[in-house]
Amino acid sequence: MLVPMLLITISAFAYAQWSTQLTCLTTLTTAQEDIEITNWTINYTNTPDINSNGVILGDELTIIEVIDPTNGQIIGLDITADPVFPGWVLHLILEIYNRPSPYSVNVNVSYTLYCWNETTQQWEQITEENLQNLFSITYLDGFYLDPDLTQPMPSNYIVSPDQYFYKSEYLKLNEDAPPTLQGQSIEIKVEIYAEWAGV
Amino acid sequence: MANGKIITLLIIPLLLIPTISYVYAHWTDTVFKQYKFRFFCVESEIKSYKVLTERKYNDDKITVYPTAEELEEMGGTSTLQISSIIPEPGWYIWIGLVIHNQGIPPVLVDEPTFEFSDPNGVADWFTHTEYYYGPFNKGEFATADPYVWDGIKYYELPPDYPQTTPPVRLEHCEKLILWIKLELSAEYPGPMDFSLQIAIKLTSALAPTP
Repeated sequence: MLVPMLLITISAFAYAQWSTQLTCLTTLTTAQEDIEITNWTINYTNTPDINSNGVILGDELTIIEVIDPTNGQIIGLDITADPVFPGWVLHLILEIYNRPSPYSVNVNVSYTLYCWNETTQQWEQITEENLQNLFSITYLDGFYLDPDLTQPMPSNYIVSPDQYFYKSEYLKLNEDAPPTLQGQSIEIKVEIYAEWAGV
Repeated sequence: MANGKIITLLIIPLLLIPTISYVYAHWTDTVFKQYKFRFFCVESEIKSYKVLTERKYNDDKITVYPTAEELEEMGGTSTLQISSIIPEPGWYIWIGLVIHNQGIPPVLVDEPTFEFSDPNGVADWFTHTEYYYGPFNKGEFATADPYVWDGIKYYELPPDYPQTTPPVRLEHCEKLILWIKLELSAEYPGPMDFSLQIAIKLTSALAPTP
């Protein structure tokens, strides 16, 4: 909405100033990226049943879908693991859909890792290397074209509208995690971006 | 009119730049995953204890915090505080501890640390000797033959059972029996009937991967 409004304003302004030369008014309809999480699966975890109540998913490991109230799409997952111990592993696979619409576009996908900084109360970008060094967490990931993770997504791959793709995430707390981590909590956010791949 | 055109030429790109930035920013869609982890805790604790000695040293002279009832409510502790009136040189007590790894990761239990309240400078006259038994997987220590825990008397200590050398590795749910003999030297010159407080603190750390 804002873009056409701004363009109209600019055009009107230009028209007023250049009334003798400029007679063409351009309108613009923006293209739209629209990705959503359509499915997720836990491929593997060794999260233990600490309280021996027979329940792990929903207890020691919880995964809550975050829904966009405007369209009901899953736009995020909140994952809590408590506790994690040296050797703990979680392998999660996301199915992501580039939803078709009249203005859908081809997109490139990428991701960025963030860590919550308790001191600054902000999300701060973190590298896989720092995740390893600071928290002894190994983070391995990859985009794939199939749910069985046999076809890695080539670099600069363009995801078309109405196409599914998959993100594999493997997290492990290293066996040599230092005792100083005990009792601490950390929060990590993985943002997956779909950017217009251009014309 | 010419000035207006020049201004227009300048203003249009100036307006277009933020517009294009806005468009670009909105031509990106995201989904996210947010992970929250709480790291394990070493949860090896004293689940039960005994204090044994000769009757002449034991008659209401020894108090322990937490009491057995308090310890039951707490579910375990890493520190035991013992107070006693010390009546004579050669005084001694045996302190027995059941140490339980309640956590998931394996732990190493090492020699405990001792903190004396030492108003009269007597700590140097005390000695302590530790004896380790286990690990025990379940409650076998209770029925061990010869006695290690249940049914044992002060004069049967230390238990005549194969000992373990610290640090002792405890897997999840395993237990260790630790007997400590705390003794005042027979050479201690006095004065006597002083009050002693001593805190025995468990030392445990995450065990390395075998």
